[in-house]
Amino acid sequence: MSSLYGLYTPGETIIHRLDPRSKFLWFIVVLALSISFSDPRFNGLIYVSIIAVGLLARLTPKRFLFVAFNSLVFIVACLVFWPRRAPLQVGEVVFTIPLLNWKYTEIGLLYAFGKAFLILNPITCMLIILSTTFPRDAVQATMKAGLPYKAGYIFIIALRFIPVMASETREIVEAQMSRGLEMQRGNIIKKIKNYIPIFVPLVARMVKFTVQLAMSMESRCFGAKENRTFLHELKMKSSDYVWIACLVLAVVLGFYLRFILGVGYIPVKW
Amino acid sequence: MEESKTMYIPTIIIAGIVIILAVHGAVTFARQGPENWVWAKVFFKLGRPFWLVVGGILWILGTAFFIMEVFLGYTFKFPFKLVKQRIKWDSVDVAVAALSAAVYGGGLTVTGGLTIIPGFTWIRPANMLSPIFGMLFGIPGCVGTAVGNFIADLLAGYLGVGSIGGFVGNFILAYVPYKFMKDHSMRTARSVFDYYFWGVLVGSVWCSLYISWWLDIAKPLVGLPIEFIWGFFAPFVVVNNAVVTAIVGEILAFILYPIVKQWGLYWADRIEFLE
Repeated sequence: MSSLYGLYTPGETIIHRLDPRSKFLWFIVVLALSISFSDPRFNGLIYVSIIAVGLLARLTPKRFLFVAFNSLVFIVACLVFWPRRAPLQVGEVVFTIPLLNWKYTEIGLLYAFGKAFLILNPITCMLIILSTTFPRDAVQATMKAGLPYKAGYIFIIALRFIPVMASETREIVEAQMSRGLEMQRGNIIKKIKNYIPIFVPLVARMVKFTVQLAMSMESRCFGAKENRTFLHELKMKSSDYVWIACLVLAVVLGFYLRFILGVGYIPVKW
Repeated sequence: MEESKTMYIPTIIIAGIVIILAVHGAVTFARQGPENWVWAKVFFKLGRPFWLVVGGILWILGTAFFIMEVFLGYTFKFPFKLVKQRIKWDSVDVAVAALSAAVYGGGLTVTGGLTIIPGFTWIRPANMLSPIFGMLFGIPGCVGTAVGNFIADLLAGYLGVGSIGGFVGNFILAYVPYKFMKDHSMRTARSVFDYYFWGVLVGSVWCSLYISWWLDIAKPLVGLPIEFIWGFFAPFVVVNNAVVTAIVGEILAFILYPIVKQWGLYWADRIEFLE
């Protein structure tokens, strides 16, 4: 099921049952709070809360590691480059990279870790949303927000056809390899050229699929009416209102800590 | 015919320069590391204010084209004459956009990448498809490329605020050759010359600067350091797109043009201009 719909993993948890709009609101709250705080201890707490929601949704830790691994380049870049900015070179030096003579101060590292969480938090949050929301419901939610239904339809069909195209790609690769194509042989230019016998039949197949798909859509009167109706209309339930109340509470508490008490912030003069 | 033959010389020169620059960039990156590779030096030397101004202009133009073409139904014809166009967005256009997105997004994910530095950087072969989709399918192909990149981000698990820039940036990558090339058949020297100039050079640079400018401006939301954005990300995107589109894009377009035309999906056979 999940391979058919991208990251979506079916389930019956409380997170799965939430309305997609409530979950998208959660993303906005996570983003707003992650921006407000620059101290990694506070942003780390937000990350822990996101993981807790993920565990409530019964997502495996492997999935969070997958996100962290994919974001590794960006996180490493944050940790390497942010502390080297001049305003962050003040205070106690924690360590120096010998040959390059790059100094890393305590403030610089704290700030860098805070920024790394700013990358990690929204991405992990979005992963949980996409893992627990059926794509059709997500599209319906975006339509209710004013997106044309054809745009949502493009997205849904594309997601639906990715496994089909992936299987086609594998078949083509195997067929070409049986004819003597060696994908990993040669220098970088040769390796890139090796993709020509893969992409030509793939796009040719895609063209054929396009015509067939368009015909089947026509036969079902696609686009006959301006507004699309859904068999299962999205409705906010009591659990959604409880969830939104929790989010409001989190925002009020977060902003109170940050802007009234002035904590969770690393003082840097830019 | 004579004019066509003389166009081959600048075409070959441009193609050669693009391939040499792209490969040279990739080699210096692999040998000298991310901070000292030749393309990053170019970006650093000109300074952030320069890239902010240039990127800003390209961002405004790119966003204007995107809104104008997709939402307002207007386009321009040379020399900048604004005309209304009718893209039906019927079942064929929707199917073209969706399947372009599936092939591009799936291709980006499935074909993975050709590794330059193991675990750190790679070239994405499926990027070679974006100018092809734009040139052959027009606006539905450009939208498909944008959605495909969005889906690739989603499947890779790094969908975030930066993906908004990637969405329109990839639209631009497909849109530039579609709009600025006069002949998409790849059967004349002029067509090949235009492909290397607009599809490879301008498209790659525009796409890179569009996304980088967005990442820089949205820094409080994205959190990436500017040294990474302008020193690594921007030149890497240029090299990545330029390498794959320069080496194989032209051959792919040459082979696929008659197939797409034969099935009646070529954009010029489907679009209607209301002058």
